[in-house]
Amino acid sequence: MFGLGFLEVFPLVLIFVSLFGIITTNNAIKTIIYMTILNAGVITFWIILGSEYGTTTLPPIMVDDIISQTNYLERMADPLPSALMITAIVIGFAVTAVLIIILISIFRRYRSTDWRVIVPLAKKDYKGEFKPFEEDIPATPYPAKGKGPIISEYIKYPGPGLKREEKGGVK
Amino acid sequence: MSNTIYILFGLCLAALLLMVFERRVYRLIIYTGIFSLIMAGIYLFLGSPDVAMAEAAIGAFSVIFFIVVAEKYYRKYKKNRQLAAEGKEEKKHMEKPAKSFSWGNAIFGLLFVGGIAFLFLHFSPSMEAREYTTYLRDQFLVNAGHDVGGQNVIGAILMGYRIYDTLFEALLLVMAVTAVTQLSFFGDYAVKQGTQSVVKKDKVAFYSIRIISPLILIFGIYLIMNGHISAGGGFQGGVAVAAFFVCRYLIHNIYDLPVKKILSMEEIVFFALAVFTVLTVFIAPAVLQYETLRSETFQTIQLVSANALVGIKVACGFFVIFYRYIAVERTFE
Repeated sequence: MFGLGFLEVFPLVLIFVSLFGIITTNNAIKTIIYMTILNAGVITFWIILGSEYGTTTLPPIMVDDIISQTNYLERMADPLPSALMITAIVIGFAVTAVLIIILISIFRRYRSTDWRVIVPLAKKDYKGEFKPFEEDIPATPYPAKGKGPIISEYIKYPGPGLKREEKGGVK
Repeated sequence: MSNTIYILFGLCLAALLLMVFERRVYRLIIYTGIFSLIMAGIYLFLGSPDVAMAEAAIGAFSVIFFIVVAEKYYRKYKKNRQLAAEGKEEKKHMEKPAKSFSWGNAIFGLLFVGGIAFLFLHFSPSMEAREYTTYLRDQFLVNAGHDVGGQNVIGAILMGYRIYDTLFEALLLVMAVTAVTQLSFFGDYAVKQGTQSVVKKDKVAFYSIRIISPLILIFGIYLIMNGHISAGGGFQGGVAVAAFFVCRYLIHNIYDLPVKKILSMEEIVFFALAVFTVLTVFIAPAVLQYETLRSETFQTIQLVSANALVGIKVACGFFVIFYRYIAVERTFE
């Protein structure tokens, strides 16, 4: 198809289906899920470009089992796309984590995860016409040292000396 | 063997179709996990075990965790606010719009995506020859053992040739952790006490997590320590170590580790990584002799320390993000 092999078409299918999903969905959570698929599609594309020999490609690790095979240097996967894609996966994770916490903040302000409700309210908010809901708690900044409620107000671990029931374990 | 990859592609496309036509969000999340796991299998078969590990750890575990927390928070918030918002404007926003599918939207999306796909495929060069071999590829494969050391060429690129990329990636993770920590402090600061974990009610899940979690910790440390001679490395091992602490939370159901201290620890480790990089890239070649610099001992120490620093940093960052998400999830209980 268009001069592409089957292996290259597969990530393109992923990319375009996820693009379609991003455009058409109304649910903000689904948008984020489709963005992760888009990320996976791009990564797959690069991995496939790096592996010329399909499933018989060898990993680029110079151990005896791999070096003893015939034509091992030719059959090895390209290490540069692999290294860059590890970076891409970790950055994709960081972006997803921040996006989801922003989504929760959006939900707290506009009380919805539907883009058809969020977008008009956000436009209003930008003009300064939007009135936050009564019980809305303003987003609080990170508390300064020695001030404000304490983050370290965590629950104390009962310690290993106690019995299992006291720790709250199963009977 | 060559059929395996096509079976995996088919499974992957099936999961994708299920995801596109699924309306219930929890099921969609499960399909996302299945999808990511199959993708990890595809990467493994295509000769990139490092990427497969990263995808399995991040796509199939972390992202799902976050999306579940977001959806759960949304539902609880809705349930909590539904009664109080009776007869107010707020209620109008919390109700779902009646029509969730529109033909205009779908047709526009199809045309748009189809147009982009056609343009992309029409103007892309022919790839049937499948000759992507570059000079860089051969250079990395042949010289990595001599230049950087170790047997894993991907690890050599990440920790040697392109260590500044790794450094900036770590910096980006620090920024993400800071952003999540900042944005997740709304309403209550402290996490309330009580038994919330559903895992405890299920004995099979409880005991299996309890048995598996120490193995996960050992596996993570193994990946970090052997990142230079086999598949793995700082990032994958760090995620595994963070997964151990999440399992610990699920077993004991207790929110007892200080987030602030771990956050500052992460920043210190990141600073140490930057200093270490400068030392090994700039100072060491000026001070040490060539034989020492290229000796196996020096290279091993350098790679293992860099992997360990990255591993600790990633573990701390992931752990802080997980704990903040757990705090968000526990808000209404």
